[in-house]
Amino acid sequence: MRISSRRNHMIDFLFPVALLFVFAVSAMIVILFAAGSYEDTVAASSRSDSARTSLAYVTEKVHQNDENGGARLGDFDGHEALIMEQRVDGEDYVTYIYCIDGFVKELFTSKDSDVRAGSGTSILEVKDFDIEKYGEGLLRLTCTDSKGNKATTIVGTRSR
Amino acid sequence: MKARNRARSSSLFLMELIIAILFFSVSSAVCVQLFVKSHNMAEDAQALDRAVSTCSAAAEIIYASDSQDQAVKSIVEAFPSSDMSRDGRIHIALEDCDVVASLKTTDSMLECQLVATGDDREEIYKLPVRHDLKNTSKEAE
Repeated sequence: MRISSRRNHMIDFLFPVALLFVFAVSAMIVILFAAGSYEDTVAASSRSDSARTSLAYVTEKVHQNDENGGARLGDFDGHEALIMEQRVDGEDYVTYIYCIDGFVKELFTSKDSDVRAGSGTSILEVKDFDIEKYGEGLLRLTCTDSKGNKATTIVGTRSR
Repeated sequence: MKARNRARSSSLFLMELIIAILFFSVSSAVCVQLFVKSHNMAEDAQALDRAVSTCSAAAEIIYASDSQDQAVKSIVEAFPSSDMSRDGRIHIALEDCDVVASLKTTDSMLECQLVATGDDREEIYKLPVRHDLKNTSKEAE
């Protein structure tokens, strides 16, 4: 006859529970680490999105409309604006890019039409957007996005 | 008999838990590696973005210049964090990368090599710029 030497100890219950606790805490740490990492990546991505996207857009617009000295700085309805003139099918058109009410706006209209700055199409929400003349044939664009990230670039108007 | 069964189920649970923890450790090690990699990639992308933006701005200045001296002066003025080395190169220090501009003029052709390097001194972006100074002078006239 065999006599069982196994007896029920407290440790038989406590050790698996402690191990389960360690497992749960480790899982939680990994999840928090993943969330933090993802948050950082998204924050970095949105940082470059807001400020630089608007600069890239305006730079591309200047390159696109830069013919016969057609891109210049000027005044539009009391706001400083980038004015780009172009001729389509014998008719003159103007594209205005300016900042009003916290938005970079664009307005494409016939040269003779009387329009207000408020009727432009909103491109991007920004805190500040500044266009200034920087030397001969150069414009300096500075954009501060709604989160306060600032980006600057320089664009040349080659058709002088 | 009851105590024996309880001990057996407890050891089974322990075995199951150990296997689960082993599996979890392996998968979490892989996950952490992936997170670190994605974080590094995001940082590299940001540095590349900044390098491209700076190099493009410098290239625009070169295209608008009438001479090498004017280009150098304008680039140094445009980037406050820049300085000139003894060999005539312009070093632009950015937050997460550096851009070096080497300018030279050969037969009225202004040539510039814009090279951006990351934190580990590895080249991340290169932009060669060639600008014909003769045409600029004619346009100016």
